[in-house]
Amino acid sequence: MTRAACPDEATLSRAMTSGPDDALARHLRTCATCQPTWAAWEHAIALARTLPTHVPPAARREELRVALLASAGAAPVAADHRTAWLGSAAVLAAVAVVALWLGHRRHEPQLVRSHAALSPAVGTRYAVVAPRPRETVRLWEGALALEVDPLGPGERFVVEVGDGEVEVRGTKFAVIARADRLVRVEVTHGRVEVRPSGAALVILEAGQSWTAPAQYVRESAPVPAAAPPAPQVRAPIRRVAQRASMDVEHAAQPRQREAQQEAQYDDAWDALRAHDYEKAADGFARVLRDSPEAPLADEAAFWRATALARGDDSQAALSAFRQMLDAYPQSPRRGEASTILGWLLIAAHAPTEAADRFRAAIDDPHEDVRASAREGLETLAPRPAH
Amino acid sequence: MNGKLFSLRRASAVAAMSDEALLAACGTGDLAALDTLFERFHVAVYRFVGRLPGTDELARDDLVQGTFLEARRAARRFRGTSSVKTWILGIAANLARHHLRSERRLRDKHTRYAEGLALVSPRPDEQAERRELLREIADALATLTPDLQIAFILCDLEEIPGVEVARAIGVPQGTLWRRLHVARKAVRAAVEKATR
Repeated sequence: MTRAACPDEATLSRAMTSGPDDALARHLRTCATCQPTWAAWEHAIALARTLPTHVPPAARREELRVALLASAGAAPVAADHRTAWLGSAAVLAAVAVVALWLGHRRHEPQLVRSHAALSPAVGTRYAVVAPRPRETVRLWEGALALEVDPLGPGERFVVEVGDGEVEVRGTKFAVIARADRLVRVEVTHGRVEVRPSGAALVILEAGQSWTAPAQYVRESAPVPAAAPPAPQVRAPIRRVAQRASMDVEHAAQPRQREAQQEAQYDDAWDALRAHDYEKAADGFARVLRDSPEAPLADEAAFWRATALARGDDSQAALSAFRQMLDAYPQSPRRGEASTILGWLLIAAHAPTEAADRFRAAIDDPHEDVRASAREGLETLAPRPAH
Repeated sequence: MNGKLFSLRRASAVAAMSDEALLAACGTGDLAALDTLFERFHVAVYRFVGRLPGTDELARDDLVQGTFLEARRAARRFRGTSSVKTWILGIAANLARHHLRSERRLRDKHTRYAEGLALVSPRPDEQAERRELLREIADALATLTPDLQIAFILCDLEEIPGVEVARAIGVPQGTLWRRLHVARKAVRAAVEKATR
């Protein structure tokens, strides 16, 4: 009995997906050429299946669900255009007659008009989750300035955070949240009700503010995490939030200085995302130079250092991370910056300072930063002699 | 807020619906159905886009959100020639292809940077060796065109039948087999290079 000729690789590959027929299965059992090829493919695919899938944690997925439903809720399902064009000539004629009857009436998209002008700080994560009459903005992180027009009868406007909410009746105010916890509310005009979860309602008048207890704020201070060992960007999902509110019209009234600062910051961020590290570093440096005391300054310093590191300018990155940590020792980014600096110092053969930097991050609130710091210290630990 | 955004009526009723019925309900604008559809399939979509080289966290969020919005918009065109999951992954694949093509011009220096850092802390144990192997595979995947990446991920990593994948991404089966073969050869070469 002669053995069947070997199939070409493409045929083998296809059989791997659809399953080998009996003849090929028999051939594979005996062929010293095809059997190893088959096994090598199976091995490679099995290994590839273990590559990381980057499914985010449940909390972040929940944020996306909220944004998705808000976006879908604000935009009704459009008619299926393909089906629409399959309509008969009679239907088209009828539509034409109706259109003529409507005469001058202009078709306008069904936009839900908002009562508020929203001015989010860079990095703020929020979504407009419900339209009028109970207009609701969900805020997870960052600072959001709002100017709300007087509401009509039965209408409400609420800003919700994980552990509380703020309700207004025609006013100008700002809400700050950290890690989904209400941190501060400032009222410029009008009247605001602050309802922190588990605490008494507070009514603020113009010029007044409410701040969460200090201990509470410290506990909830957010630190975007470093993915060890390399600095990984935890980008704000601001774009998702913007998309969620896309169908809700807001009158844009950004304050000019803040808007300029945000624009600079955004430009630098865009450059970073586009892997133009030199431009990004320059952009963040500009933000720092123009607004060294701005709330964004520590963020700009952190991302400038990160951009330099990613641009392979290690010496400049080392210096930038050190400057950032010296200038902003209380920055929520300090643990992340220390860890990244630690790894850069290992690469620069400076183990003593690297160990100090890792130790500075070892009690960081975020597990992945702590893990990176631990891994750095393990790397630096002397290996037992054989 | 207690997790309530809108009045998601019939939440318990939609939870018991089949995937196909859920999709049909989505097409009528039913938000509760969209919510349940998201609940059932968003991890699969995240897993798919998360396997694609060259996507960052922000892009993955956008792709997942865009996939479900598009699924809702196109729900009436679902003909049942594949499972709902494959159909949704097909939408994700088409969105991802556009995204990856535009991103492709921008080579990811960060990957090289990460590699550089990883090399400073070599650990001569099996774990390190395995990491090296996986990195070779990831690099090989990253060099493929988006079409090849999508074919490989959907068929070999997500283990969706090739016939369904071909329908979902709108290519002839022969084209899919060819893409799959080219991708497999690249991945296999990467494994052999790393273990040589």
